[in-house]
Amino acid sequence: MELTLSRVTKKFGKKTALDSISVTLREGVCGILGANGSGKSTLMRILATVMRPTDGSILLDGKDIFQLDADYRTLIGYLPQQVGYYRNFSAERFLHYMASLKGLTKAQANKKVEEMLQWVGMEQHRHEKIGKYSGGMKQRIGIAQALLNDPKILIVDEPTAGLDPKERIRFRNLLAATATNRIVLLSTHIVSDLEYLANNIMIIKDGHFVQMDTPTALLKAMNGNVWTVATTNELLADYQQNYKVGNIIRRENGIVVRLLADEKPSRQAVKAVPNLEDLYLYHFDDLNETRPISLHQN
Amino acid sequence: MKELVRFELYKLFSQKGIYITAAILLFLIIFFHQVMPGPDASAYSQYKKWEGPVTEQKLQEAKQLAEQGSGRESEVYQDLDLVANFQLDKANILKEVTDKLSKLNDLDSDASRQLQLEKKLLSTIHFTDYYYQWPVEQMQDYINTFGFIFLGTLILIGLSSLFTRETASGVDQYILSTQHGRKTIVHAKLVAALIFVLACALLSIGFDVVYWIIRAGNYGWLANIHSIPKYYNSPYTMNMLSFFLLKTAVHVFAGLMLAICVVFISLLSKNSFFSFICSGFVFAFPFMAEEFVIVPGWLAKVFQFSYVTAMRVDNWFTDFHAVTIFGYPLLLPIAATIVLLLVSALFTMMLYKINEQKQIKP
Ligand SMILES: Nc1ncnc2c1ncn2[C@@H]1O[C@H](COP(=O)(O)OP(=O)(O)O)[C@@H](O)[C@H]1O
Ligand SMILES: [Mg+2]
Repeated sequence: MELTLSRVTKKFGKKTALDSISVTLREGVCGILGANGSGKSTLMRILATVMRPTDGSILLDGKDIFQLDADYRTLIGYLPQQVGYYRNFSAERFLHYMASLKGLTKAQANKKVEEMLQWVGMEQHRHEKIGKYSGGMKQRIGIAQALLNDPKILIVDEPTAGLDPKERIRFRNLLAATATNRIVLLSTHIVSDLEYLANNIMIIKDGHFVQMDTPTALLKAMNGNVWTVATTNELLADYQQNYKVGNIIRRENGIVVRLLADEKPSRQAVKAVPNLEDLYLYHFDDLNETRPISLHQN
Repeated sequence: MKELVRFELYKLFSQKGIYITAAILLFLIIFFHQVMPGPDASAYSQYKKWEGPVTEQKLQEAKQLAEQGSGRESEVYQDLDLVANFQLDKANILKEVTDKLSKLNDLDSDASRQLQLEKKLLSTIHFTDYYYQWPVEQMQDYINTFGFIFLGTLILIGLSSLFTRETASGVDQYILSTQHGRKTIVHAKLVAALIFVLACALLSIGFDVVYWIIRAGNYGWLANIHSIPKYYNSPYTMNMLSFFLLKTAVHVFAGLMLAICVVFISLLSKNSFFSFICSGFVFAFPFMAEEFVIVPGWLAKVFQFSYVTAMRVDNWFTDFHAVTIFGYPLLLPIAATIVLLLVSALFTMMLYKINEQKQIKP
């Protein structure tokens, strides 16, 4: 199964939210990484067919998804960024409603709803009104409904935003457990969501496609660009001005900063193993806006 | 599909607003009915013996009683006299139409064809019997006084949020991305809306009939519609049972058509309030305009095709109204029914088309 996007563009009036995105997606988890407002949700809405691109096409194994129409929609599960629900529906009723929208028979729905309620650990709360749920509980019902039809393409938009760390881990594990044999698209601006989970990471920025690769490859490319430096309070400001600075760890005898630099930034600097946070910092640090090639400064 | 209809019905009927509105309206209707004076069920015994064909003998007897007697006797005499005079009046009207027709030189003109149709209808009128009709008169009158307000208001309150609820709750994001979320959902919503209208109409008409039977008795089904002053000049002839059934059918039909319009507006609207206001305007404007200002003639003609006029029904049947379409005169009730059906068909087609293309607006 192959989802091919070519020159997908979305404009809202004068604003271009997505600018000619071309990429091919295959089975496995693809994390879409981008800062707020970079167009992640717009891309996912288009893939979920709740929005139409202004230009460009999306083909599933060679067929246009908007032409496939209902045949495409039977294949997808979509969890939007802002989960919607009816306040006065119980979780169970809502899932049954979604099941009938997804064309499950009564018998299939009974089985699947039961399975999903257990899987997301909501069976004790099934009769409670969704309006009374916490954010994490709503999110769990959201992922449950997305999976009711066993979708071949699962689209989840920032599912962990607003969850506490425990809920976040739980959610990630739920997602990891379903990732086989489907295309899973997961957007996030939280890099730790993607660690261990994503087979591929796609980076978009201001509506532009930046790059897509496996996490290993992306990190390997950054080898030699990440450093830790032990320094003092006085010198810290200097580093912050000249480099993209990540974690700053205060020790008893001084400070250790993690920063990005093409070349060894100072004599005491030690090479560090790049992680996804460095990758994010590399692409999305605010410094970037004013100094696009700060990495190459010295 | 059945499941989806069931869910749509559940959502529709779990709106508290419809119950509150229905309760308030029924309370008001009972109040206005109660303050209206009128005979109770026992009155029938006094009218019973006069029922049937109006003979010269009955007329004389009633006249004598009226001259010496109380108000009730004179009322009976007037009613009998009205039946007796009807043949004369009818002959006069028929003559008028015939005269007009003969003055037209072109027998093939639209005006001539309309007059010929009127003449044909008038010559079939048959009204020779007297029946005590007060209770059933009230029952049918309810439709154009309170019934249309009850049904119209419930349709507005119940259905104007049919689609806007999905947008407001964010559930539209799920719905539009599912297999049945583009087409089948529209079937389901329409079916649910129509069931809702039928339920409201059943409640409204059922309540009305039961109220009047309890209060004034189950009398008058055999009376002719010409015995009601408003329909004295009607070119249609039928007994009150037929007319009540016809009126109810037209009323419910108009309710269904209005429902389709309200659902359509709901799909186009950003929020429930806007949707309610727009639908309310479509429904109430012709009624309000005619109540409170003098509308120009052409507009009054257009209003005859409006939802509210159709729901009140009476204006379609009080006089002879016909429109000429492609050279053929069509009676207003038929023409207006066709127009409402065509408009609803158009709305229905557009409902499907628009929902198929719909994008969410975050
Ligand atoms: N319906 C809309 N109308 C106008 N602008 C929009 C709309 N949706 C998104 N945008 C704009 O498009 C850009 C991308 O938004 P979005 O896809 O939500 O980004 P992300 O999900 O990455 O935060 C933003 O600048 C946003 O303001
Ligand atoms: Mg977003």
